[in-house]
Amino acid sequence: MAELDDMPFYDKPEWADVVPIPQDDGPNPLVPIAYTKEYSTTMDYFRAMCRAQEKSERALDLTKIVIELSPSHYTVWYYRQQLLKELNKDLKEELEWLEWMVNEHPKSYQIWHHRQVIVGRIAQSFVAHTTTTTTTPTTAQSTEAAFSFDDLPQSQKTAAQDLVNSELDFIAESLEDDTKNYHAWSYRQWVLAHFGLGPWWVGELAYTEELIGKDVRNNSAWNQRYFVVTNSPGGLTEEGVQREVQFAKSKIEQTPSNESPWVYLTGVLRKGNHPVTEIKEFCEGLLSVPRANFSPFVHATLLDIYEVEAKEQRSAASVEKAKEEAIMLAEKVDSIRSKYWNWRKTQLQKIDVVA
Amino acid sequence: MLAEPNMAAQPATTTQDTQANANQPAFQREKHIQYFKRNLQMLPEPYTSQDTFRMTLGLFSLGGLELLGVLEESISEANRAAWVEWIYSQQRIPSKDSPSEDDDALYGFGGPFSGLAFQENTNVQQNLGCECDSHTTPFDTAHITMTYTALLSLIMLGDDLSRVAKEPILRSLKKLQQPNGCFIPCITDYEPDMRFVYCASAVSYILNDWSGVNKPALLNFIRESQTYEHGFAQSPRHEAHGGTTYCAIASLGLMGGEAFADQKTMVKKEDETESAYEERRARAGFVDLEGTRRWCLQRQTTGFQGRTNKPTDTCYSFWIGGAIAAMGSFDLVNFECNRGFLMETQHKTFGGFGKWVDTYPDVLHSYMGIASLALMGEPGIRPLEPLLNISKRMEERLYNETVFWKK
Repeated sequence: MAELDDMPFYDKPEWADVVPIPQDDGPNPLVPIAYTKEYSTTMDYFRAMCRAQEKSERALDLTKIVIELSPSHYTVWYYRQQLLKELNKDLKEELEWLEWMVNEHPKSYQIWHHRQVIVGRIAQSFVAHTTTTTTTPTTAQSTEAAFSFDDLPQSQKTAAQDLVNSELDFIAESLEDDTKNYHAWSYRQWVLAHFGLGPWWVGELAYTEELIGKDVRNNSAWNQRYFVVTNSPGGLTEEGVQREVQFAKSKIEQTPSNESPWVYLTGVLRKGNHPVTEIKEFCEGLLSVPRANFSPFVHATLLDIYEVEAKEQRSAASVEKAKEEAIMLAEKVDSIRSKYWNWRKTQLQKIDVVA
Repeated sequence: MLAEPNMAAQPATTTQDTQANANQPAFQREKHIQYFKRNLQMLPEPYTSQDTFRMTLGLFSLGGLELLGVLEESISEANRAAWVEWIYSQQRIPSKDSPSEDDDALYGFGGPFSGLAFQENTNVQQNLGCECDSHTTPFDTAHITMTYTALLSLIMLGDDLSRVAKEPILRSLKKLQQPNGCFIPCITDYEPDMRFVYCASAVSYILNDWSGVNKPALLNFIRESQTYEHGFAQSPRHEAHGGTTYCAIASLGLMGGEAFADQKTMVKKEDETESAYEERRARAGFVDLEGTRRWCLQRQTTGFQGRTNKPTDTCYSFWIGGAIAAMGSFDLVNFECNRGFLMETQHKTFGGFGKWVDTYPDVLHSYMGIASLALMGEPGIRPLEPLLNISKRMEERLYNETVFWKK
């Protein structure tokens, strides 16, 4: 029996009826690839299955073999999704296999998207269809809610929460290997949003805080934090703005030359309709902190602030202060971008001032 | 045409840059030529994982030789003609008798991996590709990225695009565009994102026909994808990313005109009604162009990173560099540091470029490395048109010699 297991599937008797279809690349193909014989033959059988659109267990098994050989193949996942539905397979088992696949190929778009399709199907299986807002079974990867959590009966609420929480755990585990995996983060946003405004949003802010605590330069975690504060139940309140401003400031004080909290801070201020000039004292205060004084972001933000003041108050003094910042940046603290900062300086001359 | 006000003229290197360049490792032009030639002959086995994306690998290999100025001399006439036929053989077209509207999404260019017969005809002008009929399945579908790279590859190989089935491709674009304005790449992959927005824009531009694209929806999607960092993400609310920033900005540039306008600096005109002003704002692609310019420039550490606080990678010298060029600000890039990084990611033995130092080369990073150097006017490299990411010579060929543009 052990010998049979080492045999490639296409040599096994249960595949004898299949007529393999070779790839027809013509007499002189552009960029031919040096396939292994195993790959070519596997694909010959796969082509035959696809042509016949066979719906069977062996077809399902073959999609797994092809996927493991070639995860970015752009039709095999669709075929597998059709087969899983047609053969009414256990989707929880599929999620287990996907967990293994994600560890092997963490940067594969298709693997993460397939997980999303499967989780979407699991959700549809226990949620009453009247609350579904999507009209097609193949939902586009958006962060629009497909369900209104509040409107679900309690048993479905529990099932939704269990599913969301187990997916959030799975993603968190994957992020431990690569804290900035773009696919993991975008899938995480989908999981949070897809099931509406459920209780899982509450824990997400703390989750971003935990990740930022571990690596204050993790821009993906900062982006996620912005996503949470602007999309969770209630949206971004004035209280939220103040809390986030304090949070960003504390991280800036910790690492003043770290771009992430700076751009987060100005982003939150803008979202909350607060002018950037509000943080003038904070920035000027950092100038007397030795390591902060060399942060390009302290000076860039002050340049922005003084430029705004110059325009609003038509103040020549503000133009001068802004110019000093531009010179500091071009010559000392951010000289790689000297051409940009010198350009900013020339823009300052254009401001209409009264002396 | 792409002579929009925001297009940067080819920047000249200053004397200072030339002196600085002399201290860097040399540009291995000959090695890169050999690298691309070898890959055109045969791609090594590891490329099996990109089997379904072969058309893109063809474009990078041809494009690399073109930028290095040796395209025609590197390819025999027999190969040139054969490869044109190979590409057309990947075209999916409606069946002559009763084409079904259901098949609309299948049209465009794909690959040979689904097993369709190679199309040959003693009169090559009659080789139009594979008809979609009762024996074709969704698994034979074209893919928007292959359509875009096929069109450019045909131009590289001197074809005039006269056998390209334009109307079916435009019908397929309509099927691939999503309600939120984004595009999925093909009917078997329901994953919309900014990369396919770019492919749809490039295809429409090359075919000189935007009727397959709902532009307002597309513009809305692009605007919504600008993050608080002012870079563009793959989809709304995701993280700002160099690759998708290029895709968004290049799409806006290809759309041209008002698409490249900036909402932040828009002012209501005196004789404009409130609603006309709002409509004009809705036709603008940028939320804050100045912010976007700055985010892009901020990505330079030596070469460029793709996201805040991530390591540099060869390809971002193009994705971010190209985006900056599209915004007319490439002269603000630090050439010395960018070139210094790129010289280090060349592979000393094999030629080509890897993503990092001491990394094996691959055709994508190799092409992007050359394209990035082209933006800086590197001697021995043809000038680059950044919105289509082809040489200016090929851009001229598109306008003067292909059927959808020439007068």
